[in-house]
Amino acid sequence: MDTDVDDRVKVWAFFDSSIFPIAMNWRRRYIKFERVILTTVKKVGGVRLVDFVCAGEGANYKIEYNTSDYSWKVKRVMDK
Amino acid sequence: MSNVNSRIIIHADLNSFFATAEQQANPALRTKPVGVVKARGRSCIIAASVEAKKYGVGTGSRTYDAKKLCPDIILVPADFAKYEYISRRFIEICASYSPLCEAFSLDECFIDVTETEKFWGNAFNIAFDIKERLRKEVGDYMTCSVGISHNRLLAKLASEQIKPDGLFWITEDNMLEVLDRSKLTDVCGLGFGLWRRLALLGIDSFSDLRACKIEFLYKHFGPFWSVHLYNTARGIDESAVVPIEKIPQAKSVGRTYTTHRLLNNKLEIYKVLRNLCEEAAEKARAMKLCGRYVAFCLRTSPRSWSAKDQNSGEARSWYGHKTLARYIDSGRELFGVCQQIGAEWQLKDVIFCGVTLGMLTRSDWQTIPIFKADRKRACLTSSVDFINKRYGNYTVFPGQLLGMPIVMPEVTGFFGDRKYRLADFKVTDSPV
Repeated sequence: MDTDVDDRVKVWAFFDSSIFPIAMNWRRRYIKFERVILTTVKKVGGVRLVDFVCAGEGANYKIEYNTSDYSWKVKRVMDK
Repeated sequence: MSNVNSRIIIHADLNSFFATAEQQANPALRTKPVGVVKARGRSCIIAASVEAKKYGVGTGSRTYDAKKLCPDIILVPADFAKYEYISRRFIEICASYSPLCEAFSLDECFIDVTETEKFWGNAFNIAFDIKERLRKEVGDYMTCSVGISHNRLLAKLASEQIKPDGLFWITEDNMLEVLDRSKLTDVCGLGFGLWRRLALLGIDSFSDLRACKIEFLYKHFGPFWSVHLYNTARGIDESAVVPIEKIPQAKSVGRTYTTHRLLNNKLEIYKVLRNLCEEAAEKARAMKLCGRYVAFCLRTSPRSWSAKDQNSGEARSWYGHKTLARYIDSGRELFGVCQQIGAEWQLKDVIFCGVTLGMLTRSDWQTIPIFKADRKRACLTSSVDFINKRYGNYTVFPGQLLGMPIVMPEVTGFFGDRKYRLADFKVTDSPV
């Protein structure tokens, strides 16, 4: 069952030619990402939002990176 | 310019694009029958996954019928931003093999690799490379079918031979064999209307069509379609691949919308119309165009047609147009003209609405308004566009749209507005 959330989180990410989220701290839990399943970019007005679907240990997470204020949000938690 | 028969054209087609994109984004959906609907509660499936297609569910199926055919089908609301991004990445991959790459639609590309195939050895290597890069750079579940041939018509037919994740080459040797085992409607450019007329003449295969003399086809289909059918039956197509930077300027700008419930109230219909006018006008302004031909159409639900209407074909839809003396590019003026066009129409059980602005010219060729009020309004429009571009669509919108769910712009296909959608297209290395 997918759950929609909209929580701000701290994400450790590797910035290279692309962005690779490594782990996040969400609801006092440290979640390590096994791999990035999909990366998409959308523009809301002048703001570029990068969406990542990452595979965690127990679930897949959709996280969003806001390139204008450098913030991260968890948008959805999905069954694995 | 190379000889048309010695060309090498690749056609790459993403398999069940919207549904596969959803399965890529959510691994729990993989290997399950998935139907993509426009939004939750909508009744039309706009894309079905490979697994759902095995049950007979296809694009355009109603959700009620789909659930009857496949009770386990999972309905997922569409995410057009995601599809647009994946589509752009796919076009970028295809465009990296040749400057002659045509984005034929959201999920299809033609690539003329006649001059560039030697860099990869041969066209097969390019096809495998496209498939590999799609998996690596977009997602491991994304697949595409690739067709190779010496013209666009056969390349597209080749990509349809093996699905999903297929690869097929139509050469001059197997061309007629493939055509003969295909249905008439399998080829691009031969639609239901032509097929019906051919069927009435007793022609239902390409071998039958090849047996027809050009004079016979000319008599029944006229100068254009007779030649088109004659060539199609023989696998002849000399059309060139149109690269992205040479996409011709749009001839019209428009927006259509199919409602998910019947609109009976005049106010509701006018609100949807106002929304569509705003979108069409905003798109025209973004393309720096304005027009003086306005077309407006409405369609009613088949449920509301009387038996007489169904037989006569009347009163199912209304279509009107008007040519103005001066060019316009504002939603307010467009709405005013549409109201005039539809003043006499019966606004009941409306299910579809469309607005088109035609006879386009460049906005910067227009004279500056003389009157202060007109200059003020033009200034207001450009300010609203600036705010909406900065903070998102419909941050500022006309008061007439208050109290209704706003129809947002979305990417549905590249046939009409490729130039607009791909205006800032360039091949990049970084996906983000």
